Amino acid sequence: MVFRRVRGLFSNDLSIDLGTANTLIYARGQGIVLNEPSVVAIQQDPNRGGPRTIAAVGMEAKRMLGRTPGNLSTIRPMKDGVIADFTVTEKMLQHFIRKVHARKFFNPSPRVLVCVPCGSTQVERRAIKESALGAGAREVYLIPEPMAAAIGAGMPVDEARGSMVVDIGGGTSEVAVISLNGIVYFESVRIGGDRFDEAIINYVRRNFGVLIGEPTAERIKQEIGSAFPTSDVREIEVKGRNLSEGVPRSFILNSNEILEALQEPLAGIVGAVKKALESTPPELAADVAERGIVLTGGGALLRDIDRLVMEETGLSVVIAEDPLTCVARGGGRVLELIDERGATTFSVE
Amino acid sequence: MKKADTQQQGRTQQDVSSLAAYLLGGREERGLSAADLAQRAGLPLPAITALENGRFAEVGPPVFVRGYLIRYCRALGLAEEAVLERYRALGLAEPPPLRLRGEPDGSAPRGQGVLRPFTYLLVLVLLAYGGWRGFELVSTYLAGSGTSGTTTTSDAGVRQELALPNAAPPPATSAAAGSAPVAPPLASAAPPAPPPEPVARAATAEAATLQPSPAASAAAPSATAAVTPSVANTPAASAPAAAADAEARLELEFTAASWAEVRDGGGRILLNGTLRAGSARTLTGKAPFKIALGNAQAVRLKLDGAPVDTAVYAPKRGTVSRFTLGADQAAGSGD
Repeated sequence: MVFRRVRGLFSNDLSIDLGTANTLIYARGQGIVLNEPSVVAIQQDPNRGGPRTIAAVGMEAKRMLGRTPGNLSTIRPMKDGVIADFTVTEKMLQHFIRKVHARKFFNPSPRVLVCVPCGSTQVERRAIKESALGAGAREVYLIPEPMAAAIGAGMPVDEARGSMVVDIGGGTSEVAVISLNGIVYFESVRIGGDRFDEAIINYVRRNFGVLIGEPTAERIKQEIGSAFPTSDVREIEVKGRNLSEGVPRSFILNSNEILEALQEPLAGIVGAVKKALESTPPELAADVAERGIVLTGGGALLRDIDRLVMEETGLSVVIAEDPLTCVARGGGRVLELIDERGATTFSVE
Repeated sequence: MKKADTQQQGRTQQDVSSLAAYLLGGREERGLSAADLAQRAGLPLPAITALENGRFAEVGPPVFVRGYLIRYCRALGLAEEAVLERYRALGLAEPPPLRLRGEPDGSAPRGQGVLRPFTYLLVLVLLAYGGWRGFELVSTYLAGSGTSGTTTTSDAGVRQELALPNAAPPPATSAAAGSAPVAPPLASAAPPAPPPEPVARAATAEAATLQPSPAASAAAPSATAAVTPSVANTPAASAPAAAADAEARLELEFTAASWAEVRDGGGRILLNGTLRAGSARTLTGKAPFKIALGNAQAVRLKLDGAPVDTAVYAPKRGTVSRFTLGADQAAGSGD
């Protein structure tokens, strides 16, 4: 314990957005220092029952996704915003924490603030905490993702006025109404960027008889994905394995087809927003109606998603600046205040 | 400095007006009313008016201003990046500082107020005082155990020499000799003569001492008081060596717990320890007594039955007092 404190002197305080798709780390006083996919490549010893070792983490591991030989497998240790594989998550965090510390003499032992989904259970939160501690953190704080996202977006969370934030992540989408530094109401659905990719894969297989991988689906989503029909139709050439012929084929997809593919997950997100608005106390709902809703998270980068929410709810919708990093940046701002104001503020656990 | 600030303010105001005029011009160029634009962009009408008049603060925090500007530009087909760049250049795009509930604007964070230097100073003073007290206690301990000679010198200022009242032997002797010439034979004739009294006593006590001599009361009852010093001082004057070697009696009464150490004239430790409240000790030894009391105000002293004035051994600071009792009196008698 004492040794950890000594090592802590040589470590930066970190805010970690441990996401299903990407992990972002904000170092105190430095800003975003790491943005890598939450993917780990694991090598299995050829001997039966032999040890498993980490072959690659992050971007390098993501490049291996779907292209690995028998003794190598790529794992996404986070699922729906929570830990699916405890040991691998711990190793991944350890790798990232070491990566953001240039010093090699001491193993870093930073104070860490991890952003967790509102809808996560106590067991899931504990698992995240234990995992961070196992990765070498000296102290671990947890903060709800929507709170961190709202702070990172620059919303007036301390005012006696309702502010609605919708954080669309890789595994979950969280809708929260915040007032006076606390979450008044939240709605969490396990729909996010991963479900968008899955929907695209299913759509292509069903309508084109072609099987595409997750990286391809993600590329389609990023390049021509749209949440609202527009006159500007975009196209992309995609290659996949034709299911009937068994050989690779290329074909053209357009943005209207992807819009159709994404209807189901998008409806789930819009439904969560509507449900939150229905359940919000009237005074706060009036505040939200006056200024509008703020979208954050990687899902907010989907073209015209703000327009979709606006059309469905009838409220103004704005996308935060650099929505992908809002959660990590918000966590960083809270981390800077923990020393001065104590760890009980902003729903920090 | 102030002039530069004013200039900066003026320039910012000019930039704000310029941006607002650009937005308004863009809308008017396209022949749209504010209401039409509000409907097309999905923005509230008051927000459109505020943006076009440069009253960005009315729209809300920067996150909303930025979002509304994007929607405004998209609805009119204006270059949104250029507009956002101009907005950022105004210096108004910084997010508001985080405040806790009920915390006023610009309040100092916890522990960083104006009282902080004073707190440090107070802590330093307390530490220094604690160190000094600790040094004093260690010195006392060393002095008590007699292991260090240096402590005696360091505590020299604390030591108090006993100056008892009515202790002026030479004039008393001469006065007594002049006023009552019969006294010396009476006193010297008394067979059970009490041990020489180095300390002057009250007249009644002296009278009691002289009672064994019936001649004294019969011969001069009116001169009893005058006889007293003469009687008391005669043995001392006649035999100073005997007075110095005589045994003295010291009584200590403790009204509260206190440690005490008493040494007699020969350096022998007569008492050393902590005594409880209500306890008392009677010590006999060769004067002078070297006394050290841990809680001097809680101790009452009597030397050969006569109470010692508390002012004599009242500590100058703290509660510890060191003094010598009876030594100079004995010496004075001898002189």
